[in-house]
Amino acid sequence: MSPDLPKLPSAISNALELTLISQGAEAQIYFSHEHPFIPSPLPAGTITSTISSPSAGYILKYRPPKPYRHSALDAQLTKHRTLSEARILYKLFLAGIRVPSFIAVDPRQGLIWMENIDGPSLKKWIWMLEAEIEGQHGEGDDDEAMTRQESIKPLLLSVGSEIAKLHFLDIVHGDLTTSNILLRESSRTGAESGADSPKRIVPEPVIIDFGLAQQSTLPEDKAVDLYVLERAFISTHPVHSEAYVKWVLEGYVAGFGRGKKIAVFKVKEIMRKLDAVRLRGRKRSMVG
Amino acid sequence: MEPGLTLRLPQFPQSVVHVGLYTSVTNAATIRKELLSGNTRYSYAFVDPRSMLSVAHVLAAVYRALTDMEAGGLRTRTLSSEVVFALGGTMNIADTLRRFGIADDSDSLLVVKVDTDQTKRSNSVWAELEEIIQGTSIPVSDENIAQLTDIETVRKNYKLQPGISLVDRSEATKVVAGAIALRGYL
Repeated sequence: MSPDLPKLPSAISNALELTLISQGAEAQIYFSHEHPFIPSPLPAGTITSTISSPSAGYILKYRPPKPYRHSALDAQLTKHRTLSEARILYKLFLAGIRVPSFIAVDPRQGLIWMENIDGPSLKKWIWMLEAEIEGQHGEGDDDEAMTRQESIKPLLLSVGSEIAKLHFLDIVHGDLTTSNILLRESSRTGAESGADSPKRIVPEPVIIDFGLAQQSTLPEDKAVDLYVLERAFISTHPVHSEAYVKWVLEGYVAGFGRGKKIAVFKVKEIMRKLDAVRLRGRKRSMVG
Repeated sequence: MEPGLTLRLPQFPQSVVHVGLYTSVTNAATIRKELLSGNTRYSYAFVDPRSMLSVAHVLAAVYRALTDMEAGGLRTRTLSSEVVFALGGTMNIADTLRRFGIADDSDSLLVVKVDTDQTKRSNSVWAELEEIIQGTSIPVSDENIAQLTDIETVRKNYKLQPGISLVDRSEATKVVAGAIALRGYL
């Protein structure tokens, strides 16, 4: 028999209607239609510029106490991890990187409020497109590779460049996978796409889950981030993973620091480290 | 019609929040004096709207104060002063009250009252405020607050880098609300 799932503090679950949408080893993710401190609806005419788009809803990330830890240690760890994630989310939001925007934190109870990102994960999106492409083309069709390139490449380039922006700020994600990258409809519509091409609008990638994120200036840590993502591609999209990884890295190199001289040097170093990491795996020291 | 706004924060439905907005205020110095002398009739949060961006900005501070109160972590003596303190981006109480609170020369005021146990009916709140404040009550809306905002004061009070744009109010509110939530934790 499995033990009962940890429950939210009752003051919160009594006040808000929350739906558990994901349960991990460290935290639970709840969805809420309501903002924690902005009532909806508000008296008419009160708020013209709401704090966010209310349609997508909000996310509450909860780190429940772990009964097997000493309570003092547990409280300290929960506070530390919750705050570290909240700080990084806020920092990235200020820097204009596409992450769920940070709303509030309660470090004592292990709670973080952020905006919900309404869209599929990169993993699901690629699966969907692959199925679509295979449906259109016969076995071993030459056009198939072209279609794949046209529809998937632009997105993976922007995924790479988004990760590069993150790394350029010396933040490493720590758990970069295709499930931790969500895609939402681009907020900028039309302006960038040239003549009305029949191509679908490329959604924008949003990186989520900074529970294991850290500040780091080491090329090694960034290379490991990329390596973890590469492994995720290999295991979830085995057939074409090589091309996918190539596109992501292409976007990464192009997007890193956007032409700043020092960035060129840094990104070379990261790519060199990535080769080394590929040979030996994610763990650095094999002593023991 | 009520002169101000009465609402409840979704996460704290048991508390009633009153927000009022006043312009052409002539007796700010007197209010401040009564406040400092500890007159209990004046247990409201008197905020200078020059440093306020939107209704959501105010609610972020109320939320922070209520969260801290629930955890037994109030840093100031009353919930009202805690709301003003929560607005600031620093842990310095005196400095924050000076920057965000009422000043002798304030000619507009944003007033917040949080009732955690609804002992006060909202019309008595408005009646009391009418007696306390010599000024004109205007509807509490983002539009009216925006008219009173001094963006440079906001930038200075929250120590925002020049790279951070405050033109889009909704984005700017997210910036300050984040600073309020993380105050003391950064």
